[in-house]
Amino acid sequence: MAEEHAHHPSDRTYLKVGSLLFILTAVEIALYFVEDAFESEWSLYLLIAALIILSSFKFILVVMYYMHLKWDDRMFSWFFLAGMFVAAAIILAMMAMYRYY
Amino acid sequence: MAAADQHSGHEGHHTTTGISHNKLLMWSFLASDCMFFGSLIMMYMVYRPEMTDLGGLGPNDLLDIPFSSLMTFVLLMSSLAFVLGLSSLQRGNEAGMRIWLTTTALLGLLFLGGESFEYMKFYGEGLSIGENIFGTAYFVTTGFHKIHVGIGVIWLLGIVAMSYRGRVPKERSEMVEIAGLYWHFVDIVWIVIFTFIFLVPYR
Amino acid sequence: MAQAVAAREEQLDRWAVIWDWITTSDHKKIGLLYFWTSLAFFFVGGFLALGVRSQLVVPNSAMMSPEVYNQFFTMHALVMIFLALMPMSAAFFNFIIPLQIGARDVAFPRLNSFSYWVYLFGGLLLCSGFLFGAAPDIGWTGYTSLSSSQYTPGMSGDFYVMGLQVLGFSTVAAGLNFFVTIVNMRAPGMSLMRMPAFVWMSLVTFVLILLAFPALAIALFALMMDRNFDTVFFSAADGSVVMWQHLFWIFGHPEVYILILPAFGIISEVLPTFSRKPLFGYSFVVFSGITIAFLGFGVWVHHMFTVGMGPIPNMVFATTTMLIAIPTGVKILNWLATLWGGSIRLTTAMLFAVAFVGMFTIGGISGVMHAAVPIDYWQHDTYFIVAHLHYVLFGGTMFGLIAGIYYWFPKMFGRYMNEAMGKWHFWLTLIGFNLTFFPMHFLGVDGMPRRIYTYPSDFGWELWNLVATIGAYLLGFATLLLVINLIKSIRAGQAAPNDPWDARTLEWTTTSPPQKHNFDRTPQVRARDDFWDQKYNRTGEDAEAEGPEEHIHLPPGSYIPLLVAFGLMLLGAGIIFTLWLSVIGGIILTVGLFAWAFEPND
Repeated sequence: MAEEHAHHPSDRTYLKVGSLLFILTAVEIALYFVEDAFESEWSLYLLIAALIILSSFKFILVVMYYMHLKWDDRMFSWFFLAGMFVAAAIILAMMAMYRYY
Repeated sequence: MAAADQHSGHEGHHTTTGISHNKLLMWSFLASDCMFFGSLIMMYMVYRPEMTDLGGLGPNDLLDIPFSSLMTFVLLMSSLAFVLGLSSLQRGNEAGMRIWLTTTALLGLLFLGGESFEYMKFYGEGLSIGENIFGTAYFVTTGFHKIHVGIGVIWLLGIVAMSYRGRVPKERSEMVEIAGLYWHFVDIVWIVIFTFIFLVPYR
Repeated sequence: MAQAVAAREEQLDRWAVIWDWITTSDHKKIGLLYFWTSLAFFFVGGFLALGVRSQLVVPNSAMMSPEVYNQFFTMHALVMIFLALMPMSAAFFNFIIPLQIGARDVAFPRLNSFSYWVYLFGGLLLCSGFLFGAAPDIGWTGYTSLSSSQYTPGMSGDFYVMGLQVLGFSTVAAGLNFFVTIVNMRAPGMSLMRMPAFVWMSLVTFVLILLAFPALAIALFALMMDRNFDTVFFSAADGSVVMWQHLFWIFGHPEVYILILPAFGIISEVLPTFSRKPLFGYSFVVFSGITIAFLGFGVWVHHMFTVGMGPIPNMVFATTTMLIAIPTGVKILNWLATLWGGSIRLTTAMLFAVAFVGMFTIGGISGVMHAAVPIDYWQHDTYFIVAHLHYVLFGGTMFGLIAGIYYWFPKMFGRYMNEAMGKWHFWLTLIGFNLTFFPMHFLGVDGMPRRIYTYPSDFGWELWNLVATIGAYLLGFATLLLVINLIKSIRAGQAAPNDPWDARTLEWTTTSPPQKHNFDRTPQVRARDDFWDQKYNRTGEDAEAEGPEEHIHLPPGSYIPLLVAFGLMLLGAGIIFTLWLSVIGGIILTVGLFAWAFEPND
């Protein structure tokens, strides 16, 4: 069976990922308060871009390491991507339609 | 669903892909769950621009970023506790698994408690669920997430209870792994919610 | 004395049989349960349709009040879509898929029985609105604000919301279950590209179910909150009324493919069998099915062209909608090419399959017509749409499912259906169907709006309404023939061998009806259309296609899925009546789930 050969990451890896998640979240919050001081249009867009990048990072870390997608059957990644893709596409399409039309 | 899927498979049966039915079920359920949360978040994001000038109580009056950040850390750390528990079990350390999973469940409960505290606070300040679109979308979206966390906590405690009766040996660690997929999924949904409902400024 | 004892034993025996059906986790029995239940609901829906047509036969008719009429047409749609067509597809999923992939059961037998019971209870909950004179009357689309508590304050809206919500659990559970079954339980050697076309189309259907039904569940959840707990998701002042339409059609358009793809699959089995040729362009059929599913998520706005979102969204979604015509056209070409040059046997199943291709093409082409925005502005909410959707759902899905009934009946019951009566059924259905629905094109173009309960006499709509009603009664009569044929054939039909049609796929290798464990030995698959290959292409040792003797494990039955399903239904019913019911339902559900988790299942 596949699971017996599956790679189990060590506790060290888990702890590293955990601290990375901690740091990324801290950075996000810090950025939020830094931006609060500027409150201009460019800083808002910069903040949104930064938040999207950082939270995608966190998202990917959890999915790849804690949910083992990095080592697991490729099929699972496709399932998950399919669900994510449809959901994200619909969210973006709806936001665009309500924003501009 | 959660309790339904952990036991109905045929363990040890040959399968076409070599993956157990239960794990496949969980992943296809998660793909489907993306759309459950996706639909809710979609509504929130579409209504979001209206929330900046509601006239009444809005997110800028109520959202408490430091407190929500704390709750986010709690949930993230619960995920860390979970993987440490899983890896204990995979090394054959059942007692370690129980401790870590109990920690996870307690952190989950702490999260639920903190969020409920926040609900009470919002409600006390006059934001009922039908007050305006922010109240509606905020309570329902995070509430749906909380239902997921609650199911997860019950599931984890169930595993701990079963482990005390010796029914979760190392060989059946996949059962814990599947519960973990669910738990981490709930965690990443919170990552998305935290970013887009809390952190992105309402201007 | 002895007689009394014998009678009593017989009675005990009968209870044992009933208990066996209630607790069964055998996919074939669950398939039969689905089959008969959906047929019963098909008659309920047909009765409602005849009510609608009777009301419309003459102008200014006062046969029923507008309120009753609204309930009739709404429930007709809901019953047909959610309680007749989808479950009849599910009957075939249950009965045929494990046989076609060479498995002994589905991946989660108890979850399967749960799906059935939720379907039954949810269906009864939805229909029980009639008992209170408050069946849903807001159209199957349930548009807000009509469905908001402001304009539909009574129970009827709650029956709509909770009935569909409960049914959704059944569908998603079945979707998960069969998805895992197909991915994970194929016989050795059955690679994805060796799967029968029906299995492929079903697999695509399950992906659609898993990704589309959540949108409906959330829409209904939000509507429930709006109606019962004062939220403002769909309120005109705070939220967005159109949001419901978006969510509904994000679900609703894939739902159309959920309804039609299983029929595509059935047709792709029936046509090759009765042409004695392999399916032409198998991989094209498969990949066009996948393409349809993928594009199906990007077209929902074409139901909402007249909402007024402006030219750019309308143009984008008109384009994606027209794109779908391409993979669909590919399929139609493949079916025609399968027939080309084959040695065709015109059995009833084949007649329905061929008629399917014709009727579905008409429905598909009228679909492309209102994919064009300007034409849609003219046709929107007229009988043209009614004509289109019935050509797709009756001329398409239903014809396909009836073809499936005639095709698989020998496998399901071990007997042939009566072909002479079947041919009567076919011709009456075809004529009745076209008489009913073709005139609706004219009515729509002449401007008759759908869902009106009556019309004045000077609009020139009388003739075609009269014709449509005559056709509807003919169709009703034809469907009675189907049931008579079914019952007569089960009782006294000619016994059928294992492979009555000289067919191509694995389900025909086992006995008719199949034994409890389906296959004595797990089949070893070496080719696409493996059974055909076995019969005609392999010789000698090569023909020894089955695996070694093995231990056969069948799961025991369980009453717990029924219990959990009942709890779920009460939970939903509580929102309609009184919250105490929800509490009781919730307790039953929780206890049931724990019992489920700890029930020994090996």
